[in-house]
Amino acid sequence: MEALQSLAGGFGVALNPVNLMWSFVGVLCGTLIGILPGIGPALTIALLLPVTYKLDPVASFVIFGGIYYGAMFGSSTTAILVNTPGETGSLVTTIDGHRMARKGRAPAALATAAIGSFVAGVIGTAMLALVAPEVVKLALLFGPADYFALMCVAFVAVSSLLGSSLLRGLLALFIGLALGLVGIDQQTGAARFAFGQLDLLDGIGITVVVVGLFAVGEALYQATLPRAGGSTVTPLDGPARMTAAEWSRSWKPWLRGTAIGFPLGAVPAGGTELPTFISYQTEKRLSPRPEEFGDGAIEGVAGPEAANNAAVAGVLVPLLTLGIPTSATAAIMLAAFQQYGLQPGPLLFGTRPDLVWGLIASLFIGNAMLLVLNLPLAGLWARLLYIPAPWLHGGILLFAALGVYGVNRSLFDVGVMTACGVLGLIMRRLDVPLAPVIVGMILGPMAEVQFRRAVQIAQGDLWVFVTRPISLSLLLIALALLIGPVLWRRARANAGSKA
Amino acid sequence: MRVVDPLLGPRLFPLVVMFGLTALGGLVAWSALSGRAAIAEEPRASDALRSIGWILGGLLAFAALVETAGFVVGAGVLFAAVARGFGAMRLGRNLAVGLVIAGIVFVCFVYGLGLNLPGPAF
Repeated sequence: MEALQSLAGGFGVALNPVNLMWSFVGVLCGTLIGILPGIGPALTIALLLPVTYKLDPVASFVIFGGIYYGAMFGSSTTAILVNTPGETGSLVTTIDGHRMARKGRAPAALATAAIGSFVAGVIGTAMLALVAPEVVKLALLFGPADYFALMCVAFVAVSSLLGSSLLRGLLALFIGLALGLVGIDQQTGAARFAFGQLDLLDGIGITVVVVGLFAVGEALYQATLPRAGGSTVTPLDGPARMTAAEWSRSWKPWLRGTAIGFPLGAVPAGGTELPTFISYQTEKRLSPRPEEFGDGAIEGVAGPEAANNAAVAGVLVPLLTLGIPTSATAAIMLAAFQQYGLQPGPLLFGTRPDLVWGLIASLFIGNAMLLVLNLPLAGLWARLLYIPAPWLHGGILLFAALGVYGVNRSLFDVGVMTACGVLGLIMRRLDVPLAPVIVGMILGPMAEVQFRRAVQIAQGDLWVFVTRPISLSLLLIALALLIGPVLWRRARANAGSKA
Repeated sequence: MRVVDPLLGPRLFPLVVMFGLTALGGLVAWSALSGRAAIAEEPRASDALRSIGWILGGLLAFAALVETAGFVVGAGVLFAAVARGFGAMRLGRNLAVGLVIAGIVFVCFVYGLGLNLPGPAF
């Protein structure tokens, strides 16, 4: 009931005409960058940070929330029509979505993706509204030691679940932690990793790193791949729609996808990719016609597309209630909060209910707008796919240079961006995930603050982390996440060699 | 002299991160040398290095031009170089498109949003 009341207040904020307009701007931007490959929500929000700085925080987060959801809607269009995902969350959609398009059923694939995204977005946001106040109550019990332990869980989860191997994930995380340490230590004033450079004393901007890794790095990486000859866009005219039979095949996967996506997004399991894979496997196993999967089964589009949107709602739970980001986009949103001097967490629900509940309410409205944008106008959006790759990448890097140079008018930042781009290229070629770098860079300094606070309160006693029950259980979870997958793989290998 | 507990000082985290990075680097190197870290070698374009050169060169040109010739020229050249790196061979046309886009962006951001960018010195 409490949640309903707060949500009503949130709708009061979100339905303000100015905020409605920003919500529309957000979902429009989100759909656009979701469709365009090579530019994702984390990069877009990073580029918008300096521009939105002058806006009211509520307006900024309404835009960012719209972008995050919109990107999940838009990316399915690219996955279905071109066979490349607009974002990584739509990788699975390419399998059956593109087969459907080749068979002339593109409108149905687009419709089930858009309506499924809408259903998942609305249910997921409703669960966010219901769960958040409960998590806040729990979070109020947390001391600094518990927060530090929680951040350890997030570190391990992000490293072990986002990439192909734990070792590479941890490597990426530690690169991020090192980048986050650069600059003057807030508590003692000591310069760290600054190498006597004046430009480094202020630290490295998160925008510069994100733009370097995700814009420059991505462009360099794409440029090393063999170019596909000619346009392979499956033509589409008219709106997205489906038949009654397709509706009846879609609605269960939508609900199952939501049920898979939301909790996996909410626990620090990281991002929107994992839930889509699990949803696809689930639908394949439950289907009476598993042989259709891979050859245009609508369930293989409906489930994963619902799962990635529900995961976005899930990711917002730890971000808003605990201040813990579990994806690159969430880490940038956390940086945006910090830019306003706001710290997401249990206290934010008390001090800025207009901001938190206004954001949640605007996500409902944004989802409704996205449904309207993506069903009748699907054909219009599809035209974006005809932008030639050289111009698309030229444009992305033009905006990258604008975003990085425009903030501080610092050539040093342009240099750091370029260096991060080369780092990003190397990491992509070696299959090292990028998201842990961003999460480590944002969360690292916060973890350090909590660690010092905890040790200070305990008067130098390190055992504080294992004597507090909350902290101990969280550290055990982190340990289990760290060695669990390794033991599991070894056990399976043993079983395999005996059989 | 003020004694800071080493656990609370500014040195602890850099040390942990440094040792962590060194250890992880060693593990990655070991797993690569022992053949455990097999990653699928991705196909590579024959002109990959030249493409990388065009893109990095474009960024370098942007850095060199933005404060002397202005944002529009710098960003226009960047666009043209990146497009060339992605196989759009006609540099003159790339540059024309880049200058137009950079000009529109400049007008929107400087006059619309009040961002402070170096002016277009033509």
